[in-house]
Amino acid sequence: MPPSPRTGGNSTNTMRTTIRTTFGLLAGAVLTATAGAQSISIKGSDTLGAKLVPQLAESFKAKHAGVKFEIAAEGSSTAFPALANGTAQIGMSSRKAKPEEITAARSKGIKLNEVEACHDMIVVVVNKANPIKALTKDQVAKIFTGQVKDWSEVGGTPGPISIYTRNTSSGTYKDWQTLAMGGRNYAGSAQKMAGTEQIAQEVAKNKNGIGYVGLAFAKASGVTDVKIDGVEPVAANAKKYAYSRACYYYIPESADALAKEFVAFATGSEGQEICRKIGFVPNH
Amino acid sequence: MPEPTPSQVPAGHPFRRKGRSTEGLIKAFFGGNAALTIVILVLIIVFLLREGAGFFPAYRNELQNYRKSGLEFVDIARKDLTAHEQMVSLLNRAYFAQVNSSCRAEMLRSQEATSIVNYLGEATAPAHDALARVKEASGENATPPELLEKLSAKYRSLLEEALAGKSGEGFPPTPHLSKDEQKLICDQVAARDPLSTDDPAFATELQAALSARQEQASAPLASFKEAIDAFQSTSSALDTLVSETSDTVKATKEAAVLHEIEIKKRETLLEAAKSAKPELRAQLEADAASAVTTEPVDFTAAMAPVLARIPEFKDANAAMTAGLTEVSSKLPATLPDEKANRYLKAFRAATPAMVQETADTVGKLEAWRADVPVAMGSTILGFITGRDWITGGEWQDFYGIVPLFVGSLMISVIALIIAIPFGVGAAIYTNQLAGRRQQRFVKPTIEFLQAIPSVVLGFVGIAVLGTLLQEVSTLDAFSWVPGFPIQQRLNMFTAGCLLGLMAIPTIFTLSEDAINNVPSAFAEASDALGASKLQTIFRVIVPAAVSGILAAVLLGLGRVIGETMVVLLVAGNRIQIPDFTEGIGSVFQPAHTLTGIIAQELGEVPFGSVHYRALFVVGILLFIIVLAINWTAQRLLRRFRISQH
Repeated sequence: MPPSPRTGGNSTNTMRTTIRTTFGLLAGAVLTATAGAQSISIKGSDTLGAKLVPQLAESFKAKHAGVKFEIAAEGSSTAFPALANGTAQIGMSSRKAKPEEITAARSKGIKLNEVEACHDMIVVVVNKANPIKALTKDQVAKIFTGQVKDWSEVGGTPGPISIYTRNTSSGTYKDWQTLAMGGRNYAGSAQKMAGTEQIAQEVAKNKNGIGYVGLAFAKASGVTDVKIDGVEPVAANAKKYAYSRACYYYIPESADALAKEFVAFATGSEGQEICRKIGFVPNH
Repeated sequence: MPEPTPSQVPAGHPFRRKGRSTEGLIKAFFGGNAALTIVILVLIIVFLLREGAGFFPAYRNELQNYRKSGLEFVDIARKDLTAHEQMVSLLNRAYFAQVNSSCRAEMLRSQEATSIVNYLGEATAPAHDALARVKEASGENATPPELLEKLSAKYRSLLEEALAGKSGEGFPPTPHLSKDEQKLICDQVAARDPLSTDDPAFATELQAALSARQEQASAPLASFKEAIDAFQSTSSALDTLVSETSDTVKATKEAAVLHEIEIKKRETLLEAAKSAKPELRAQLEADAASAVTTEPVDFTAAMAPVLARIPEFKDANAAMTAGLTEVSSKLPATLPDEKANRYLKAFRAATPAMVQETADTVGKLEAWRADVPVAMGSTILGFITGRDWITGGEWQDFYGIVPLFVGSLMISVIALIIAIPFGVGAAIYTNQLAGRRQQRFVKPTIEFLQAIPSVVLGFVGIAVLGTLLQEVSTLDAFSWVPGFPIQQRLNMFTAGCLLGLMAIPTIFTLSEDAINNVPSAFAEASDALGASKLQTIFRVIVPAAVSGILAAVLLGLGRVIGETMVVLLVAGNRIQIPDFTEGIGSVFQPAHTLTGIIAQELGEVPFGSVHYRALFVVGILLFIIVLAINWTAQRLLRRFRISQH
């Protein structure tokens, strides 16, 4: 039913003005927002994204007022789809990108550059009450592949070994397979945890637990780190330690200047100093 | 044509005046809503099927590659190696259990000493860490003395508090150390430098005493250990062979996969070039032209050197079989320690299986052919009956849903065992026995359980229930319960308890409805015949409502089996069929579930990969299971519905 012409004209006018004002205001707000606060979206590895990148972001913010960060750390494999479809400007990865991941991005017109972020050491942790303080590489491989099932077989207090690992999205999961297990499969009894924190928590709760964490988490409460072949897992031993690896940032060639600046900052001397403080091994 | 029903609205009313058009509009709106919902449901099913349909051909292709590149061949030989490792592990465990059994006192003393040191260390950790940081930060420069003084004072006060047993959970119990020994350790820890983490001398002494005792205990078992070591070394030939051949076949597979990827890359780039902007197109086309750099792999040639080593495999196999016979003859008849003896018995029980296993290996290796195609049927069967779900591996991914299915099933059964008595019991009580005021309180309260988000329940499970169960299970009073003490805080039982809690409201509400639907004439007739209240309930009302109660239980099961968050957080995520030799205690083992695996892995799989499709097939399976459960429940309800008249 059409409204009567008199009131109708009035209300249409008012509506138009309202729409115009709202639209103007919105557009203005959007403009100011983009001008005032640029945002960088970073996705990928949990190893890098849990502590290091947020800290780097904080220091970066101190220098560039108004920069906003969006950091999602859900595993290295999540970095590349996000880069390819443009929802992330920087990808974090604790492993090298696979050729198919590079191709997937390339086919969308995005060329990825690889930048070494820092080095990380994967540390074997056991429960604090466990008398074992040192293992050999061979023993570690045997424990994680399930050949050794009881702590007494490696000289500890008798008790069935409980293995805690990361889940399959994690770069660390695969790195560990390559570094420590000679590419063999994990023991069927391994329990897959969502993140490094959970591994540390469960090992702290289970006196027969063993797991691996990034160096930054090796001092979590309730767990102790284990010497591997007599080498203590501390940053100074990065060269000698058996389970060291590099971590990477991936950044599209076409990324905006701010994202590039952030990566330069993170790999520069100041950023590397932050890496060292948090428990990673700086590049140089 | 029938006459249209005369409108109920009196003539002249505004509804009447607007007439059919508004009514029709509203009708169309509601009809549209219903249709849209159905369309969306159909779309979801179509989407699921479309994503899942590609799985079996793709998985078959992967298995074909697995066979062609010879990985399967190596896995046949590797199986023996794994079996051998398990056997060695059993013997080693028997040996160490025997050695340790005679050192129990020393071991406990040493452990208790360590626990005291740990306790003191934990209590003083804040000051200790601060001191260490200050020292590190200042480096070469001298540390400001007042800061050092302050931190040292803090360290001392923390230490004193800890020594008095006031920090944390109090002084650890040390029943095997005398008061003096306890004091000695405390004094030694107190005397050491705040920055040092060295073990106090007495703890080292206890450790040494333990080692000495172990050495002493192992002396009479030397020949046993020798036999074990000799047995262990019989696999070395096979070990070398397997690792060498696996390198070869892995290289073959990698080359084949690389070639496949390159071809795919070229296709992807060409595809992208078609729709790209002109300036990008030339570049993409150039990239595509240089994409393929490798030759296709000649599998037969690559496999030849591996197949040529079959005689070596034969020898290695024979050596291992001989080793098994020899070690079996050298084993002691029994071991004095009960646990050690159990391992020994397990070894003896497993020996025939291992003999069987190694005996047919050579035959299998010789009969193996790379060019036999993998049948579609065996691919599907492998998925349904496969005992391995291995993904993201370096070697070969396998998708077998048995461990996941067993996990889901066991957790659901545990949940139902808990939820049925509570849900149905509460329903009978509320409907038949409770007074009006109680009814008004009990019903909404139980239904309120449904309002708790499952992720919150999951947190409760990890933080409260899991920890509580684990702590209770270590109490001596409960040591008779099978499966106690619980090793894993996250296990099927904890998950089942929480899911049971979630299923209670569903079962309760629907059972209560069913009982309520029993015509009051039944109860009245029963009363009139002189039955007591309880007789009426159990002989008349519950039997009359049993189909409704069954349907309620089934719908509760549907809810439990589809639940994701709780199992992901609490079930422990171990992809392995539980070890049922533990009997009823196996419910305290961790497991993974059909729902959990989708939630955990779908976020990270490359779009469109085999793994991605495998997860969709798991989703379809879940869908079918829940659909079947709901359908059965509906049928039950309809078939046994009691007429109200």
